[in-house]
Amino acid sequence: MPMNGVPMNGLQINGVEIEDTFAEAFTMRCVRVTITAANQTWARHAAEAATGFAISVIGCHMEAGIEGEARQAPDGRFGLDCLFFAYSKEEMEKQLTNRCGQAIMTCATSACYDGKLPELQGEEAGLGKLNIGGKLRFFGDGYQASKVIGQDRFWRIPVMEGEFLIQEEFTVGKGIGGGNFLILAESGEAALAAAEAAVQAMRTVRGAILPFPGGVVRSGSQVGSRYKFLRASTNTAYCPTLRGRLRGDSKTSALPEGVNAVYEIVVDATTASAIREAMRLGILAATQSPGVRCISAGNYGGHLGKHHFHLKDVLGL
Amino acid sequence: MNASTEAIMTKQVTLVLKQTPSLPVEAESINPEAVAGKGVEEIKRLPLWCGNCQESVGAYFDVEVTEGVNPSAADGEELPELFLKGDLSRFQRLGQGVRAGLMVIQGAAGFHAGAAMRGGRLVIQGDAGDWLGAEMEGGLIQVEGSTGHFAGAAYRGETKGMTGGTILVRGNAGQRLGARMRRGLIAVGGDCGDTPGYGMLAGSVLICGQAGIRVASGMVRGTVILLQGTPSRAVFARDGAEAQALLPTFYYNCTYQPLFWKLLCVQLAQAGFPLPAGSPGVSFRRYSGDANEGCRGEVLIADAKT
Repeated sequence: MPMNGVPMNGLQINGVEIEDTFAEAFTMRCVRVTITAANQTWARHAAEAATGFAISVIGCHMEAGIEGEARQAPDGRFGLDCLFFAYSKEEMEKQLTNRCGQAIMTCATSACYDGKLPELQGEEAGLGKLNIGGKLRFFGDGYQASKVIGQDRFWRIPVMEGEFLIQEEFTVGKGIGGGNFLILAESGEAALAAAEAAVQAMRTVRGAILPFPGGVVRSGSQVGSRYKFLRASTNTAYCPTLRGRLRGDSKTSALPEGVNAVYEIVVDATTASAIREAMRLGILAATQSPGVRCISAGNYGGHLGKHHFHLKDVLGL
Repeated sequence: MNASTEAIMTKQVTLVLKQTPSLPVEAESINPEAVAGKGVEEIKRLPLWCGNCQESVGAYFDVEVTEGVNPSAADGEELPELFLKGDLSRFQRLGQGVRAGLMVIQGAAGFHAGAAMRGGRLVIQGDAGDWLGAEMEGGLIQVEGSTGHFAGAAYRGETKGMTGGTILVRGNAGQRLGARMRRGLIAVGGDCGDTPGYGMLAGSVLICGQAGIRVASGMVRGTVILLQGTPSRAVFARDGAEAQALLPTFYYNCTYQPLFWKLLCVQLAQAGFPLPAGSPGVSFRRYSGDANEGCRGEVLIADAKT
């Protein structure tokens, strides 16, 4: 870390120091769901409900976000691709069944389809199928009907509006969760402006989502807590209000002088290349925002996550 | 071909009809798998039955084998494309039981073409006889002309008709289209005869033109779609013009736009099957029936207002 504003490793982008560290990420199961509706408004209602409260697997059992507009929705209507991430296939199936049933089926005019994972073709060993529509069909109370179109089976569940259509099986693959970087800035305003710029740039990357509210994390966490009943607690080393307080506890703040606010951007993606590209675009955008002093990344010493994204490699430094 | 190029020799086999038989010929031996790996003389020796006499392909066809290069194909992976030229309306069971490959009949085909087919693609660039794709299990049959009776149906005494695959007929179809079919799709661009979808167990039948009487009679499950709305020969009318040719054991549900229809339109478009403009936006009157069989099937009749 830079001390007194002097870079220690000499890595810089747009005059902002890039710490020589890495983001530690994890293999997660991922599914792409294409949600369509009669128009953009209702597709977004369904997508936002389905991906809501899917911030972190720690407390939500799943991470999710809207990837972008579906390029070719199966039914020809407006559609949104959503990505869902969970730690296991079993948890994914459970969570996705609930979300499709509660958030999509209940939404006017909506339907949902397997968005497949074409970017993971060639990695068949990691691909599988989850039975989602085949479970939701029982809501039809015996009046549900299926229709095989092409190679895929779809379930038609009678609802008060007409029919809810859902594909029987959804493709599940191995994605990556937990790509991240930290924006250290002189003020809260500067940090937020930089984070917003980063998020805007990162959302152009297909195959990647930013699961946190607005794509930005203000309450980064550390593993463990002084309280035994908590698995994670606030990332004290990056809390500016604890810079001096930590000294009293013989601990060290990670914040250089002049940094008064930190935001973290977390990215989940179907592939490592999508993580890298999202991080690259995000960091470049953040460093162009005034008041940013340093870019860092969160890791656990490299002992927990299989995927390490070194900032200098991501940025080609 | 130099082996170092790693290119694979593939073949196109063409059979040109030189003599029209006086009796129907049983020709199930003619399919892409049967001619694979064979030379001209071997193909000519493939057996055919004409009446109670065993004859051979060479008695009726000139055989041409064209070699080609397919750099992307692995050795033994690809079947030859099989082309048949001439009026083959007296040749029965062409492509019967085929599991893979492309077979193109540049003319008419006789009875049972593509029956019990399991995979691959059969293209008939003329008319097809009765029992087209009867009891087929998979694959795609495309007929550019019309077909006879019992397309995709079950044979006499059998309980299930086609159990998979797709039959696309640009022209008209005869009676009992898709009778007792269990799964799959049949689409007819023109009119069809009486009792389409008779005893259907599941699957989809689309009729773009006029349908005959007793549509979907005895239907257990499945979908019959009448895209032109009112059939021409309305009998057994229960609710006047609204009930059309449906039996009184079909009950009206609602008028709506089933979403699966849009998916079906996409599939048909991808297969090159022409639908009238605006078809994806059509509303349908949905009837459930046959009440004698549990009322779990459906007939969708295009709403004239849309």
